[in-house]
Amino acid sequence: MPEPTRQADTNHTLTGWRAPVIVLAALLCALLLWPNEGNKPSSSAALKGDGDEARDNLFASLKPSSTATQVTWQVFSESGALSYEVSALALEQFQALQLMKVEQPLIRMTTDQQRPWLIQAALGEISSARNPSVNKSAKANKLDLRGNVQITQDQNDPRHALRLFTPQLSIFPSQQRAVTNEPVVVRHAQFITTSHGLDLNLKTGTLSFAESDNTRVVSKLFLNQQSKGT
Amino acid sequence: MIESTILRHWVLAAAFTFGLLHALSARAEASTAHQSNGLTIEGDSAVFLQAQNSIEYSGNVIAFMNGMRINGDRVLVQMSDDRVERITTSGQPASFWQEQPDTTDDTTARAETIVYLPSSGLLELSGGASLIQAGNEVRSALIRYNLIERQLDARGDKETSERVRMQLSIPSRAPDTTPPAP
Repeated sequence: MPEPTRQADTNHTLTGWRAPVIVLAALLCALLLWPNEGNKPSSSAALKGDGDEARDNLFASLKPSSTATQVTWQVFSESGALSYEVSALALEQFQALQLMKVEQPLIRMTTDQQRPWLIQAALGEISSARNPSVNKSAKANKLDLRGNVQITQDQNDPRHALRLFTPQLSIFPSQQRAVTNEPVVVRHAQFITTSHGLDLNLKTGTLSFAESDNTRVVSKLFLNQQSKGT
Repeated sequence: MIESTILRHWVLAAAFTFGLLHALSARAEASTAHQSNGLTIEGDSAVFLQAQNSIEYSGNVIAFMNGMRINGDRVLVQMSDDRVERITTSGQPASFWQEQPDTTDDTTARAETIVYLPSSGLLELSGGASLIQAGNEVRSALIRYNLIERQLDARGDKETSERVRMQLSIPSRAPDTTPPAP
């Protein structure tokens, strides 16, 4: 009789460990088959199968569509007159973003009334932007320069020479304006002026040092022909 | 022997470097001292007109140099090709102060317009002008004051019949302690 008893014990043991395994397996199946709310298909058009394409487009736009070194190009106004000329050590064009990045740009701006302005910087970005001060204005080129920005005027007479230094400058060629909100130093044969912020009219040569919350416009005038500005 | 030569070279190099730095430092100091003769102008805002070769400052403007100060609402600096010609301060009123080295009575002045001519060191005050020097006050339509010689010239206005008015401060005599002669 010991045999049936052993069989019965064995069956009892099997039943004892099989039940939790079955329950566990059922739970696992339930978990796997349970609909995941987080992965529920979205109604967003961007994620209806073309999510990868959008992402690819974004990444593609961040890569330059073309690059060049030692470049020079000229931009003409609508009337056909030379507006400005840019020379740069290197150029990266981002077609999709309508943006060009340039290294060590040297910009020569020409105007009707003034001698040409020479503007150089460590880095520059050339983009199309609307004038925020004019409603429904057409897009026009905007040049954002940063890093040791220096503006000089191509003057024959050093007594009239003007030199400006600032860490950042935005140029609007169509408006013949250059503006910054950063610290500025202006050197002239008869004065040195420091200020926070500047609006330069490239057409007339008028420099406006606007009122700033933090700093005042300070000039040192060289009296009695003490020309120190240049 | 070799070590001695190297040491000598090091000493010479150090002496040369020290001398160079000293010379550069002295030059920088001389340059700073020379620039201190300039006039400093501070304002809330300013506009430089290249065509007119002028700068106009506005908003609580202060112009100062070597013991002299002018305050006003606006300051216009007019320049020629090679010098600053004229500095015009206007205000309600504009004021002037000059330190007097040997006395505590500094020279002060007020006027609607104060013109400073750097080439001649002349100050022209017009429009309700008044100037106080060593306790004496002068009121006139136009006062000319020489900053270098510290001399003034006041003139009336024929059109408005405004005459020169001067208030002299006579120092009180010290009590005579010497006994009267017999």
